[in-house]
Amino acid sequence: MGKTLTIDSTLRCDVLVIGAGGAGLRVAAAICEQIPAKKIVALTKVTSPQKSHTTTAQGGMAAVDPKDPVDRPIFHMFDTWKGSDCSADQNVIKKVCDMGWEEVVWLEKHGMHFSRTEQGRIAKRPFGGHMLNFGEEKAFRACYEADRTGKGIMDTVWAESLRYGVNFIGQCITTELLLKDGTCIGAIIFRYPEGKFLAILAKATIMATGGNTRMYQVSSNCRGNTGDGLALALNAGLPVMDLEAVQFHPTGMVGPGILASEALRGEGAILRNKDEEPFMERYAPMAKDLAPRDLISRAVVQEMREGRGLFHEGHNAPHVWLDLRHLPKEVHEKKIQEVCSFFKRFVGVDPEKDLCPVTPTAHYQMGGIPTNEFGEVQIDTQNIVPGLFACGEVAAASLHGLNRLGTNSLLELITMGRVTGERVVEYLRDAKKPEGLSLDAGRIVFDQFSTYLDARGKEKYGQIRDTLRNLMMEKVGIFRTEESLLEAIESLRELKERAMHIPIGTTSLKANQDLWQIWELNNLIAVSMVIAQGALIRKESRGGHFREDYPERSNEFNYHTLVSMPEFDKLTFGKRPIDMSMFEAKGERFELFDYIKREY
Amino acid sequence: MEKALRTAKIESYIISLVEKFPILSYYTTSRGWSFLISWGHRLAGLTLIGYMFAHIYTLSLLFTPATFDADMKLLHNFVFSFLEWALVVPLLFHSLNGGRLILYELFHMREDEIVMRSMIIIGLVYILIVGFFFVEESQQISVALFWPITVAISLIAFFIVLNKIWRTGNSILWKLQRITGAFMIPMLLGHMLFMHMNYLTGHDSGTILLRMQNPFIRGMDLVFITLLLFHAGYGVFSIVADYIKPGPILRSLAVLVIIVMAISAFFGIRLIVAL
Amino acid sequence: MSKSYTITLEINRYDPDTTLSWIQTYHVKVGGILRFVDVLRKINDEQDPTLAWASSCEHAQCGSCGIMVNGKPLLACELLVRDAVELFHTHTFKLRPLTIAPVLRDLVVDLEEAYARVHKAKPYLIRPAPPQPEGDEYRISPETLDIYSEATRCINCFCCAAACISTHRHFLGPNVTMANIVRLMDQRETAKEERMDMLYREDGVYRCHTSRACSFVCPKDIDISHFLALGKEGKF
Ligand SMILES: Cc1cc2nc3c(=O)[nH]c(=O)nc-3n(C[C@H](O)[C@H](O)[C@H](O)COP(=O)(O)OP(=O)(O)OC[C@H]3O[C@@H](n4cnc5c(N)ncnc54)[C@H](O)[C@@H]3O)c2cc1C
Ligand code: HEM
Ligand code: HEM
Ligand code: SF4
Ligand code: F3S
Ligand code: FES
Repeated sequence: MGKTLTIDSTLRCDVLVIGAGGAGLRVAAAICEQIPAKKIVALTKVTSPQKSHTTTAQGGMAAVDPKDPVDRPIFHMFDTWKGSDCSADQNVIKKVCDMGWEEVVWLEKHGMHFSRTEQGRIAKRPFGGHMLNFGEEKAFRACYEADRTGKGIMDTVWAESLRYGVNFIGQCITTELLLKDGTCIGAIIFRYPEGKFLAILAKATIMATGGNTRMYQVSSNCRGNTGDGLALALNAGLPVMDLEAVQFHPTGMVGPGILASEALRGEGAILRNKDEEPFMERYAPMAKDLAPRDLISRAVVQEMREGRGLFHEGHNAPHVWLDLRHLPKEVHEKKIQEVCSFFKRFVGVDPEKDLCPVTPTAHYQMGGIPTNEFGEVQIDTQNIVPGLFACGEVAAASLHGLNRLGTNSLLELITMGRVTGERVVEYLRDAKKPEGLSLDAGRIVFDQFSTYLDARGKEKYGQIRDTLRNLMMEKVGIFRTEESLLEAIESLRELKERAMHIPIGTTSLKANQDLWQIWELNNLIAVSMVIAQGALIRKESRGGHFREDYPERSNEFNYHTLVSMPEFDKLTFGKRPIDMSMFEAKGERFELFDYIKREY
Repeated sequence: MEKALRTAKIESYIISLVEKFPILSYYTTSRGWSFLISWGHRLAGLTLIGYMFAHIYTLSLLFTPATFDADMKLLHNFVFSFLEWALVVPLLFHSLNGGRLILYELFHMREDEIVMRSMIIIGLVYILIVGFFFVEESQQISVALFWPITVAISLIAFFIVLNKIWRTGNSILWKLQRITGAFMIPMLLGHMLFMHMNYLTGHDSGTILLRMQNPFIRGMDLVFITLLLFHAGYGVFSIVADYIKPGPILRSLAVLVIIVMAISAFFGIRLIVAL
Repeated sequence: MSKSYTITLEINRYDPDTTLSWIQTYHVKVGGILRFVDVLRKINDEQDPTLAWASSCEHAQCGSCGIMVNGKPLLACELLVRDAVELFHTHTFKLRPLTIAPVLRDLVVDLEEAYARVHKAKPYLIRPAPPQPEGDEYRISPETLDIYSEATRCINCFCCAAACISTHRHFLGPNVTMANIVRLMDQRETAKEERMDMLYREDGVYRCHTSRACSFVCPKDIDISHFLALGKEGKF
């Protein structure tokens, strides 16, 4: 039928923030604090930045007060290094851990409602993998706002950007990154309500599109976390890093996979199997239920495999128990109020009286768009893309390496957010205004959209989406093998082909949910491909990536995987070395920052 | 509140009966009882305003007592008597609920279900008493005892509320709405009760005219009608303001309301002063 | 498998291209523990891909999915089919978009427009108190926090606004007014006068008649009317 697609209008600004989540808006706030007069445009898929996914983060944000009598930033650095299974970058670890407390105070000063101790200070709770004295005992390190810490952060950075007059454009998808002579000059967006394309030209562009684990059947992520940011980067010819490292959170609510925060275990909840045995004692004798997530998730699946799991009739899915019954009423009512209400509403159990059914849920993407320690996007290990920055879950600096500790993500958003913001300010000083659009601007997305709008196949969108999600869960999930990965890759190729023929419900461009979702599905398939390919070549087990055929970590793979895929299935691979600057600096206990053994 | 009300046996029975009406159950499941009560409050207020206009009109007939008595005789039949008694319902509902709102909004009484329960009881007792007087038609009452006490209680209510909210930042008109409301609870309930002590107290020109010679009664009625007209006027304005944006239209409507209330005030006050 | 239900949805449709609106009926067979968003997705997958609805987090934490079911504004992502059947005593549900903003298509309303009202309440500290020395945090006792922390849970889903007796024209709305009140209660905010002015404007707290539908429908169980009453009490 051939609707002609055109760019409706062009908007100019100083800074374009793609993804007005916690990270994106922390960047915006940092820029505004230094140069308030700049015109900043922040994009989001949802209706208001406040509805970004950061708002659902529950448990807390790690940060060590330098004046703390027992905890020290260096313990935090060590935990992060060890938690990453020796694959995070130490320059980033050091920077983030050192800055953490300052940023917590920044949030607090701007109105975040942290939970308090009796003395009126910011309260802290323990979290998986966070320990005192280089791994000796659990540390109280996660600052929190009940079990809605992410909401507190989101509300604060959203409101701060609002105060400075950042322009929000909601209900839009960024469909194409604009690169001109290797420099990023902005992006093309598609607005849902009017169905119009808009080009936004900016001196600096920040990618902060957040997570993307919707390709898994059970996922804690929101409907919109479909890997758009990664797909945009890939389409623009940029590499992505470490995508094979997907974090499965051990306690998703059976069924939809809604998260039951680690904070529950921080407050004392215990995982139990069919015989109500607290099985984590066997897998991690010291850290037990507060071992890192990758370990616990594998333990849960192991229990299920060995027949000690249970089966949920209603949701038709296997699970284990999370026991909250012994926690004081006060904790139920104040500290974990939201999560308890989720259990009541979505699963129909009362955590005060009943055992809660949980199952591992795809939760976090450790990898992402590679950046240096200032948030500048790298095109390879040596060079950056001028004008393009990345921050938050979509970026990989890399603070988490191949496994993230709980509460370190929120910390990353606000610390790296500020760092990136400050870098943008520097960059803006002598950045030139982009001259105009290149002639072929919009080519990629117009191609995509025309294909979707013209497709007349039989197989429906829902079928392909479900096939993908089952495939990824089974074959590229918590446990992987060469065989399963090869199969997955083959199926992904096929799925991509099938996805091109999904019949569209309506060809109207206004508020066309179908069109929007098919575009998202294609992103998911592309990102899944990179995950599977990355997992295939990493023939070892490290952090969130576990190969049953190579169950040990191997020094051969002491690097980050770089993958580019300018066209579907046309991949090139690269490597980025792991930064070992703390080890190399030979400072306090530097030997612990070597490739150490990881036990809990 | 819903839950608390439902747990008590009798109430849950009554509620389930009431909810048999589709329109009511629609709102109780979708918006809650308080929502319905708010509409009730609003409609009762408007009903009372309607009655008030008619009331002031009939009272102005007192200038020619013969017509007044003739009219009253005309109205003294089963239907009108019933309507007169039925007027207790909106009146009671509006006054007691108004009292509840004042307690909720200004006196931090957030235990709505307890307040409501006590009001239901007070209301039932009141209706029975009025009904009893209505049927008996023969009580004697000392005007000199009844009215000073009622006025005293009304003034106490007036000053308690005034004292509580005068210093808050709310607009004066809004505050007066609550203050006049509080004043009228004893005053109006007393008024209604008194007028039904026996038929003549409320409907016989001679009895009324005699009573109205008393400066105290005159003074009291003067205060009463002023406060009432203010309350009613602001009430109408407040409903209108829910639907119309602040601006010229709303301002014109406000002026209209003021004019209507001023005219009523003129007739009402002339009656008191001139009789 | 748990019990399954055959339900009928009567959905208000609106097509922005032709500006036609109509009511369309769908019959679906679903498991009782499915949420309404799952039901809508099922309709998309199996019957009608054009039916538009909104959601994001799908676990009652973002406030994107508000719709009216049989007149009650609620979050489609947290209403389970079996709970709906129990609540409304019926297997037929009328789904309408929220009444607080223009409809974009079918069940999707332009919440961006509704948010303009939230922005008016300046949901930040207008003038934060001077910071503590040495980069410390402010001291706020847990008791003080308890007084208002409930109100900070609001996710701006606008269900309360859709239910309120008076939001029809220009009341800022329960959630927005509450957002202002929370900051009046926050000891870190010093711009109290500006906030008071905002509170006592014609579109402010006077438009609330304590009809308490807000508290009744709020998916976060916030007793909004309590906070609005605090505003009227005028004591912070
Ligand atoms: C349920 C849950 C609980 C969590 N709990 C914790 C915790 O306790 N502690 C912790 O440290 N971490 C936690 N995390 C992880 C952490 O919350 C996330 O990693 C973090 O919030 C990501 O923030 P972000 O700013 O990068 O992305 P987001 O907040 O997801 O923001 C992304 C933004 O980009 C927009 N966007 C996406 N694609 C496009 C596009 N194509 N065009 C335009 N805009 C786009 C989105 O609409 C959104 O506004 C949790 C995560 C989840 C899912
Ligand atoms: C008897 C004692 C009375 C009390 C305690 C009382 C109290 C109140 C209160 C507290 C309100 C405000 C409610 C709100 O903001 O929604 C109100 C509103 C109102 N009152 Fe009264 N009132 C009384 C008598 C009357 C009478 C006699 C009339 C009419 C003649 C009247 C007419 C109104 C009207 C029209 C409103 C506006 C209703 C609305 O906004 O929905 N009231 N009253
Ligand atoms: C149906 C029962 C009622 C009867 C029989 C009745 C009777 C009377 C009478 C006889 C008077 C003359 C003054 C006096 O004797 O003190 C009077 C005055 C008054 N009544 Fe009523 N009344 C009734 C209900 C009401 C109600 C419901 C209202 C309020 C809405 C009301 C408002 C007034 C006012 C404001 C005056 C003073 C009139 C004026 O100054 O013109 N009455 N009433
Ligand atoms: S107060 Fe409750 S109903 Fe209103 S917007 Fe907030 S969360 Fe939604
Ligand atoms: S529903 Fe509306 S009237 Fe007031 S108490 Fe709630 S805002
Ligand atoms: S989708 Fe987030 S609240 Fe329903």
